[in-house]
Amino acid sequence: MVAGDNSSAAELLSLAGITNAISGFSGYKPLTPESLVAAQPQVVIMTAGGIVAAGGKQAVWKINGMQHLPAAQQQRLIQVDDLAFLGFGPRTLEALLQLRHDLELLL
Amino acid sequence: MKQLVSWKLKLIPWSKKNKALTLLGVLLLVALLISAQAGAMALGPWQIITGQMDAYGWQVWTAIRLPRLALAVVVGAALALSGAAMQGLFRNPLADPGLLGVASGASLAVGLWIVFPLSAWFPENWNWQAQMLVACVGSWLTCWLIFRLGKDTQGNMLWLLLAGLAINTLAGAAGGLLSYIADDQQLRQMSLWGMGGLGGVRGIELLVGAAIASPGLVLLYSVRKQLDVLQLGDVSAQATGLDTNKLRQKVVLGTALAVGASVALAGIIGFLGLMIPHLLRMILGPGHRLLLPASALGGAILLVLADALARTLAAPAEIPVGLLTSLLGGPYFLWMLSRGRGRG
Repeated sequence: MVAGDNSSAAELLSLAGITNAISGFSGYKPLTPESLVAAQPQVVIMTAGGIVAAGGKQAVWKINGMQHLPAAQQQRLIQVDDLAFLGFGPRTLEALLQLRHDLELLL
Repeated sequence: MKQLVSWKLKLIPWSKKNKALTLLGVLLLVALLISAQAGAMALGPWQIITGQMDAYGWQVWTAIRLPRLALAVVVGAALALSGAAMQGLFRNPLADPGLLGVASGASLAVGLWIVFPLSAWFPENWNWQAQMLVACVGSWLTCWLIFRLGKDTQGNMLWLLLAGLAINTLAGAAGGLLSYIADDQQLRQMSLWGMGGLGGVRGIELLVGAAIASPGLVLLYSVRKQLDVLQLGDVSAQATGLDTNKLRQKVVLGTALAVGASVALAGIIGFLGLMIPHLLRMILGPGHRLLLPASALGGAILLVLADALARTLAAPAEIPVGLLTSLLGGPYFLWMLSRGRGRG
């Protein structure tokens, strides 16, 4: 499942000054592997729960399509808190700062 | 000139069977060509011909799109072929591969796998393959259980049918119990798996799956003549010397191999197994010698086309392909049905 337009995760990304590589649908939907490649994301941002469901950080890069991304060469993956990214609340600012910090470490 | 044509036609025994199978084969090739071109990225045969395919595009095309086409062919053929064989075996138009518990057993096993932390025992990067393995083993265990329970030395198929219904209901209830105790994340994972899709499979898993499924397909195809004899009824068929127990074993084993592997790779895809054989029976008649290979081709055609739509209609998002097979095939099937009734 990937966050498209009009999702809280996409809104948080734009607040953090990040362009969401995926657009063209609203809400959270399963993504076609080819669209993932076509979007050419520099960094992959996943929730902690999503990484667990995929089978760990190593297994994330085994998901179909992931190995062809620019993000894959240096395995640029950022883990974010599930709850902080599914809505807005008192911890939103903290999550944004953390995301920005993680991103600057990677790039 | 006219003489030449008729002479040529006489030379080649152009039977109804050959005609139908050739037509379906050509349709499958066309479907594959369309599907090889369709996708989120502009890659395909056209780009190869016009020389616009670069190394990166080629890599993506061969690593993502081609395995997906091959998977659609294998899964579509497995579901429709085993559906046709099951309907022939039970002489029941409502029989489908699901009756042997292949799908329900696999979902139960995957549900257990997701809800209980068994995956911690596996190496981290094995998780994905392990889930496919679990689905496959789950479907085989259920299939075996139903086959044992439904065993009847008289060669009556009714017990197998009833055992299948009972075990399927049980597995469904156990699955419901699992979703009751699952947390949010697990629940989403389970329901996504249940919808079915051809997107998650890479070349390696496809090869393993195809290696398991193809002996099953061959086995199912090999019983086409016996199935025709069986249509006389159990007693008459046995009087002709047909070993109905052996036939039953073959169909169950073939279905377990072929459909078990496809459920493990692609999740649960409805409609194909039940409707494709019916559709082709209405067009081609009930003989299994034609119906079985035609069903395999027909199932492959429908799934290849449905999957092409699944990944392009809502791109970049993906529609679960099981919804599309039903939406594409359902109305056509109903139209055929109403036409057939008006005629009869």
